[in-house]
Amino acid sequence: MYRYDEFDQAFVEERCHQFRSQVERRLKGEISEDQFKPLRLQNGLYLQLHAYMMRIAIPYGVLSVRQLRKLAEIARRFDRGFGHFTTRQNIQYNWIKLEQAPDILDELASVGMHAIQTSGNCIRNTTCDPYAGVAIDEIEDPRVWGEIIRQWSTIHPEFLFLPRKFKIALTGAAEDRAAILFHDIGIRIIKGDGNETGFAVYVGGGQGRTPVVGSLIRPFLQKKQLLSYLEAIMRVYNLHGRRDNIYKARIKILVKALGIEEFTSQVEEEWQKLDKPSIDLPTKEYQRIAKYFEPIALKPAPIEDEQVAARRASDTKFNSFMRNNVRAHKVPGYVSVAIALKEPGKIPGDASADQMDAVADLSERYGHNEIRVTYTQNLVLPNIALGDLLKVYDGLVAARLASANFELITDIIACPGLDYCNLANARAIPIAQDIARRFGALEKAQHIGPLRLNISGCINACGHHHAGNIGILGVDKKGTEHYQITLGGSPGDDASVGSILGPSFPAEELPQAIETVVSTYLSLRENEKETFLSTYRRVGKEPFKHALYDSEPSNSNGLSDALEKV
Amino acid sequence: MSAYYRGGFLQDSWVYISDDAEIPERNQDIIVSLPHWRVNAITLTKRKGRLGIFVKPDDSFEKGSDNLSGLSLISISFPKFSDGRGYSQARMLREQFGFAGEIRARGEVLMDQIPLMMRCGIEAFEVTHEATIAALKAGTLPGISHTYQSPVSKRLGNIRRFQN
Amino acid sequence: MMPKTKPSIMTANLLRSGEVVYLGANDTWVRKIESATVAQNEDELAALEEAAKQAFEAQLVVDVYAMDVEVENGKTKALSVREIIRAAHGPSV
Repeated sequence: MYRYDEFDQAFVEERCHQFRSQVERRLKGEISEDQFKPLRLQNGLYLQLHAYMMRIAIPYGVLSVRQLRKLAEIARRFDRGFGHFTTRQNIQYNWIKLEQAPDILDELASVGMHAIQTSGNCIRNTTCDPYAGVAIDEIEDPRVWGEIIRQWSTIHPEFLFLPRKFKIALTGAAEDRAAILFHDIGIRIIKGDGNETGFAVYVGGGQGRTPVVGSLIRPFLQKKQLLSYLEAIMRVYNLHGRRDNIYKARIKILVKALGIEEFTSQVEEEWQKLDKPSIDLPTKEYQRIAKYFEPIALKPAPIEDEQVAARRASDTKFNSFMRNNVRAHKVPGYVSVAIALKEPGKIPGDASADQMDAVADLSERYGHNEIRVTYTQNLVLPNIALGDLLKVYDGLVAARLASANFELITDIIACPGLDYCNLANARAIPIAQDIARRFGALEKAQHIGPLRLNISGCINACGHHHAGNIGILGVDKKGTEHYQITLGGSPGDDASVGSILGPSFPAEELPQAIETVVSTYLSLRENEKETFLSTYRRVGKEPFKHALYDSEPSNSNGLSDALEKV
Repeated sequence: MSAYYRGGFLQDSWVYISDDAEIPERNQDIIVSLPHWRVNAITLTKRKGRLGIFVKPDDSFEKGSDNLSGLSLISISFPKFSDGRGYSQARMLREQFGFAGEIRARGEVLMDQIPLMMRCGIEAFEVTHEATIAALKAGTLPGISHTYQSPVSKRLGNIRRFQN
Repeated sequence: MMPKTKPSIMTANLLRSGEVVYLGANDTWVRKIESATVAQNEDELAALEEAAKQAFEAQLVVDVYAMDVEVENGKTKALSVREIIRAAHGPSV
């Protein structure tokens, strides 16, 4: 993975120094709050409900052991002993003081990390497939481009005061695990004619108030022209994106207003005028960065392990863990292990400092020093030898990190909501906890099968509810917390925006409503292999609407009846 | 008026002329609006005084029809420091139009943005914010000398990571 | 006769720490909502707003605003879910 050289280190230290002086000036009153706000946002610092929240960048979701240990230390020293992994592969701390922020940035800089541009109207963290570099279906490792985009976009002087925030996502595999179609720019590595690979570029996807799936702007772009092409898109957006209304300021609005053909033509025209050689990466620089992402030298090994097989037979929890959390690796004899930060009843996406250290230890001993963050608020150890899997699993069990519910209904993606966030209309965490408890038994969750359940506490959709198979949106209805259910969203290659089912439910009734939705699915699915999403797409929303709104409100036996048949 | 250039504040002789005002005597250096210049370019360039134009965030230039050769100065407006269109305008003027005259920033010009404006090809700044004036006089601009993007209009091509 | 408005108080976050605070007696900022000075009418609220504005300009607080409260048995209580959570200085979970 990338390691800062002298240049990167000097850069980030200058940035720390700059921010420290900005904070001092703010505390002295030499700049107003209005003038300071974009500066602190561009260093990841939000003022939230109870305190400042700091969002630290984890570029394209990749962490080293040293970095994860530093995050644990920051949780202990500056926060209340935990951190929250986010839907953009970053980490957030909820209890930060402004006066400590410069010290925190210094600590981060010492391990090659920062909080630059994790907020504000600028290009944010570029996210990526958490299995980049190790996935069996990989076409080409996207991480090198994640690093290239990171450097290009960091304190790019032209694009720090955009109409609104800007998010880019990258995938390099056959399956899109980075939800690129829901980003302002989505980039997919594809095979071109002959042996070369290039990029398919999508633009104008997004969630929030007006969710929309991105449009293809360029079916094939030569890799060496990526940065100049991105600059052309950014410039058109910077000049023509709306600035009169923050709810209409994202690039998706501009693309929709112009239409993709006109938008494309403006971008292509601008691109022709750009001085590409001064923007595109020289080959030498590309090679320098690419070297850091050369595959780790892993020795292929047998894909079966006797001890693993024996443990699967004797330990049902481990068997489930193997089934749900462990994924095959490019190199035979290796696996990738997902660590679900979703123990039912706990706060989704949160990890304690001790847990972060435990993961770091496991990665150091067995994981070749690397950890990944998923946009579903979980972690991954991408490189684990099958022969070490049991030791890793036992280590996770000891740290209470062995929830075998990865990608199941209790692997809930939830924003912090009104418990922490200034923008929220309703709480998300207690709803997530209640739902997770109801489906907490692993057999239940497994019986239901793969299911994305997303909760957002407000229309900003940080919980990505539009892309949830089941989406829940918190709304304020006359001062009380209500929740609207959407069904049929999907974040991947078959991207779709969920459809609103009907009137919202008060908090007390929402978890039961979710049980009704699930039991309806179970009663309608053709067989155990038909996922929730497939069933929904086959039968449509009517049966679910009927079950929720037409029948008696309390269908509490429905779910247990359905599960008795398990 | 007074404007800051790399090194210090200078009194200059530029005067902004609104569209409905009378164009002053021939020797006066004047800055007129972009639309006004487009209509009156010929008469304006005949004057002895230098000619500049001021540009609003939603103004754009036409490569084919706008001839910037008669202009000594372009003043780019930042009505709110958070309106970033001026950065693109400056870069386009330098890189696509090859404009070699003075580009200055006016409006809400603050010390934290001045280094970024400089990197986009803006070389002079009309500053009213007190703390910014003080910082400029003390030479303490909070910029970062290491950059990941090539400097504008230097056409240095293959230098990606650049240190001032 | 002063028009009667809903009782209200001033709230903000401390600039340095981000903590939730309320404007209390003698223009000090307090953590406990019960200790907040309650304005019973527009004039009283205007006075509170002025004091809060000065604190903002003195770099003490940010995000200052007035909020409605109810006073029950002499105890000041927040009305909305958001303000109840803020007054508790922590999440509900």
